[in-house]
Amino acid sequence: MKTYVTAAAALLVVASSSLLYAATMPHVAWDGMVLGKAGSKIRGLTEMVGGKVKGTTAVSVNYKGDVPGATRAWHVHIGSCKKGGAIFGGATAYTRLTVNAAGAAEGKATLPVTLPDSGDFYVNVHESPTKMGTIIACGDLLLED
Amino acid sequence: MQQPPVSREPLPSRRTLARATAVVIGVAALLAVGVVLPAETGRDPLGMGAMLGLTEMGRIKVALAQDAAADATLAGLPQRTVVPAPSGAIALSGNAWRDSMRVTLAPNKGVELKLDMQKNDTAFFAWSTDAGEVYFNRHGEPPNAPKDYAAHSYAKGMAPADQGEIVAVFDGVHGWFWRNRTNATVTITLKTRGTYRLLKQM
Repeated sequence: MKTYVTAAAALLVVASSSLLYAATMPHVAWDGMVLGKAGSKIRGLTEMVGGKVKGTTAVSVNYKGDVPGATRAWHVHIGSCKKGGAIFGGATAYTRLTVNAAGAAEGKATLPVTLPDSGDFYVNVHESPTKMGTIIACGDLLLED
Repeated sequence: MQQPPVSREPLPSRRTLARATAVVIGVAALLAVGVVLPAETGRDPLGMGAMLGLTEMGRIKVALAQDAAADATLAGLPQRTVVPAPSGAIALSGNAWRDSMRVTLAPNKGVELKLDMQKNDTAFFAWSTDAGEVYFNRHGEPPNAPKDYAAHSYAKGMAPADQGEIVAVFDGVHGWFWRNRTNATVTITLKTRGTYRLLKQM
């Protein structure tokens, strides 16, 4: 009898705590602001969230203030705009950006990695696919916690 | 006629019953003080509320109740002075709003306020800042969504104010994430009305 009562009480505490934790647990998302460097007037937003397929990560960038007709490369990197770092999720996952007549561009990519819930990440926009060493805009991603 | 023998288990003793009752009362008291008290009043004598994220919820409930009481007091006054909103901002005065919340964000800090809604509920909102643009993401999530759930997005961008309505596309929490992208402290004021259960900070 005593064992049953104790087990039931423990189960009740664990179940109620788990339910309450699940109900208040926030989702994970990252957001950032992309700003131009070295004279570039680029200004826009970037985001990193869970992908529609489990185990993937969806990233996006959209901005204004660029040169109409330009083609840009972009990636999410591990690290920060200040320190730099490796490409996150593999370079092949990212398609090039084409700047429209109004100077705006938008890019989306699905990365074959699970959405991280910690760490440091940033987005950069390169001068062109052939001038990858020149970064014209950058933005640190911040965790929405 | 002879009755068949009836098999009976021995009844628990008074001592066993007393013990069982004491355990149940103890668990109930623990839940009341550790879970219900912080969730309803923001008071957290055992520290369990902070661990479960309930203390903040309780504090918000108390703040909302105080805000509603203040609104009710103002509504009862014979004359009411309505301060016009600054040019370009959204007028947040008036008795029509059901709830209001004000949050202050340091540079680069974010906050998430959500309405607990059922599918097709409609909530009206207006928010504005006291110091320029903030990043906002109006979105919704179903109950108990996994951490990596891709939230349903209603709108996102940079703005100093916004107003409109949210029609819940599913049961869950629907609302705003804001981030202060300026170098100074920003205060955001949100007012809501319509069909929803609760406005809360996530």
